[in-house]
Amino acid sequence: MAHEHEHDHSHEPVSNGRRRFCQMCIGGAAAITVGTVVYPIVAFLKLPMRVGESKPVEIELERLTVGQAYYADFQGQQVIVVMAEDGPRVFNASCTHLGCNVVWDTAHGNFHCPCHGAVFSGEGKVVSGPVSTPLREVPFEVKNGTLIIS
Amino acid sequence: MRVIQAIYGWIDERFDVTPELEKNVTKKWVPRTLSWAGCFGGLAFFTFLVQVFTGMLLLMYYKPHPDAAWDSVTFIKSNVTMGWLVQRIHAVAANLMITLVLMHMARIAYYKIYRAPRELHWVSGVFLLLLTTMMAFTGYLLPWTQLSYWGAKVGTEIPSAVPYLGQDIVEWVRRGKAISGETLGFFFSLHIWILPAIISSFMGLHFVMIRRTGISKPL
Ligand code: FES
Repeated sequence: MAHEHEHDHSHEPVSNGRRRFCQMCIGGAAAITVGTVVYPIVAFLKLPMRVGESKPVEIELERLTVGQAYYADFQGQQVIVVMAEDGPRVFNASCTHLGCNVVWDTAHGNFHCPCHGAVFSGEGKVVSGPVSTPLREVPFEVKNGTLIIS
Repeated sequence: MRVIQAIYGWIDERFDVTPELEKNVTKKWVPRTLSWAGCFGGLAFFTFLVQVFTGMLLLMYYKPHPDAAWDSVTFIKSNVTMGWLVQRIHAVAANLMITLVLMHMARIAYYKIYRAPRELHWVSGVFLLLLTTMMAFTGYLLPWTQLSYWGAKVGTEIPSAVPYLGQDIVEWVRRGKAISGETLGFFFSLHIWILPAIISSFMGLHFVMIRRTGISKPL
């Protein structure tokens, strides 16, 4: 055997430096490739931004009649402004039972839910139906004769 | 890595995947005479997959209605994160797919690879070309822009050249006398369900056939 006198390398610890480096380069390139594909997909699945979502609702008080309701959209949800004797009240239209939008009944002066028949008083208190929680009030302010929900 | 190997081992024990994998992927050598031009078919398939995945994403927001279609596409482009990118990729990859299919076919034609025993590969390939252009044509209408409207109008006018039946075919394709909301709905269902279903079955056939006969080696 020609190589018999040569030094036997097989028991020396092998330096894996270069191999490691190459593996890291390949792994890194693969990670970047996967990342550029996955990132836009994950980003796309995020909630989209909605235009005008944070726009405040403004209603001039003189346009409101006592006993009447006004419907408006605030942050993607319906709100109901009811003009009572002692001033306006604002409610989130979402029924506290399962979330249908309640409607104002001018004749009876209360709110009706079309889904399972809940009835709320003009102050939002539960009158009857499958509910126990009053309608949620929405905070508002009145400035220079304008009602502002923000 | 260990975990992956363990899972692979567990599955392999039960289904004997390794020999299949070796036969079809890891130990299946490409003939060394094959040039990079042999990639066009595979690349066309890759663009198809890109279309499937970007299409799924776009479908989350797209609304196939004349009043809403254009707004929903604008919404994707301006309000959805990375929406502009996904929408662009879907549009560009569509063009790319047609280009790649044509390049694939040009190579097959030039080297006469369509000859026996691969005639049916060519026939199914021609169907795939038609289906691809139909995908592109139906997708073009969906954003409901001026361009897409007139594009669809001119495109659906073509069958009117058929003797006797021409006008009937035009109306059948348009779902009425003019391009309308019904056309949009029809093209939408073609674009996202009917054509993809047909095109994937033809692709399956195409791939099974090439597996059976093997790819052609230059003389
Ligand atoms: S949701 Fe209003 S009563 Fe059920």
